Amino acid sequence: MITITLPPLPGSDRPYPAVHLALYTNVRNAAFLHSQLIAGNKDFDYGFIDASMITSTTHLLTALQRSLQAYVSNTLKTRNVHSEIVFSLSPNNNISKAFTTFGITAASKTLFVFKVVTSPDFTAAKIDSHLKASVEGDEVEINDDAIRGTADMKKILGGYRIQDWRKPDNQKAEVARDDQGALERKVIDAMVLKYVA
Amino acid sequence: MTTTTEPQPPILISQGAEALLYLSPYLTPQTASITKYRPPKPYRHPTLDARLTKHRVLLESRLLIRVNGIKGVRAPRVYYVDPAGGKIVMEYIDGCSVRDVLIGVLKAHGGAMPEGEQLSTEVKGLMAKIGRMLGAMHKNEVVHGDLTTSNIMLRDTSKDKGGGELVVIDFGLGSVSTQEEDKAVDLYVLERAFISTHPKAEGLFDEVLKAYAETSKGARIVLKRLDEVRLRGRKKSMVG
Ligand SMILES: Nc1ncnc2c1ncn2[C@@H]1O[C@H](COP(=O)(O)OP(=O)(O)O)[C@@H](O)[C@H]1O
Ligand SMILES: [Mg+2]
Repeated sequence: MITITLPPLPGSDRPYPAVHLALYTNVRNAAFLHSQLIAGNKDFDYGFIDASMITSTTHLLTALQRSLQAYVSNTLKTRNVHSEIVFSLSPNNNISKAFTTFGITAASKTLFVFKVVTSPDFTAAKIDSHLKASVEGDEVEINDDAIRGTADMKKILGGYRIQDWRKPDNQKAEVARDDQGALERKVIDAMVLKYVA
Repeated sequence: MTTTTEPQPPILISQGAEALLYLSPYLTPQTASITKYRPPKPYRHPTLDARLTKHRVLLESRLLIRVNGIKGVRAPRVYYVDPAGGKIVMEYIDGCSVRDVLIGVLKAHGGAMPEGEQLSTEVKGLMAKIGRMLGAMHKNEVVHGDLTTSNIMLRDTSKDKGGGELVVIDFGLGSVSTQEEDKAVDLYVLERAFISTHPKAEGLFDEVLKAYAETSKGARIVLKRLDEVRLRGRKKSMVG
């Protein structure tokens, strides 16, 4: 688990809260984690993202920044800052679709887990040990190489409705090193268009 | 992923009539971005002001995204838009304006633009590049609305393969148009700006137009129209 603090936008009077963040592969208890989330179990108040939908670290942080911005400016469109991360990833305003496309499902094999530090109780030590006890999977370091491995190109192209991807390998899951930047730009364009369309 | 360095506070780099431009980190302390912020105007009616600001932000960000989809033209990439808050966060272009490049060339030659053989192929090449880029932009129906040598940037050459790449900025007055008239006016505005900012380099503008003409049949029709626009401009300045 790492803890990050994103730089605020110019002109913001409130800084963003820190965020604890971890990436898991070979997740074996997604169904359990999903059920805790659905049941509204307070102990499982996390942002759970299916890692197959994430293209790069920049893509991940872009969604996080939006949800934090909505949080500090009191313009959340969903229940809380964690659900807002899932919604922020979506290229459209359909909230329930955002959850089935980008959020954890019972079938998730790889996961990003977020905990926004909205209370001093959420110390790194506490969250880290709770995650270690709760998520059955292998925690891996977060970087672009790791994300190319967890990303599913075909699902990303579908989820973001990217039609002009003319590469012959658009039916494959893995993202080639050379394609990561181009895919990231298309995905972020789609996320920006949601605000300006 | 490392995030240990303390982020730098935003730096105000430009204060125009309408917008404040900040250089600041975005997402990580190491990633520079530009935020174009249109603050509320106290002398405008608040409701009208909010509507205008939102309209301009939407217009500019849509155009930036559109331009980036055109082959042969580059604009700063858009990272984040807050229409109600008047903010566009975009890619920071590490380089300088074409204006500064030309001023630098003039300085190096004691204030006079070198002519003929002396005129470096580099400067000529830059002018041709501008012409080709505008040709591609107009062919795709984007009219800039405020073309000046300050609003065309040259990415720093000393770095990676994007070196020497032209980037058009400031689409605040832009539009989407198929009209030859609009495109001709776009070129006319650049021509006037060019002559007034670089009077010693007037001849260089022909290089821009020559390259523009070669981009398409439509471009040559626009250039015919430019003759009419110039004529009207001259009449107007004689009357006024
Ligand atoms: N993306 C960018 N990267 C680097 N510098 C920029 C960028 N956008 C704007 N600037 C700088 O800020 C100045 C003003 O920005 P501009 O968008 O032209 O606003 P204005 O409408 O006030 O002219 C530009 O002339 C340029 O020097
Ligand atoms: Mg400008």
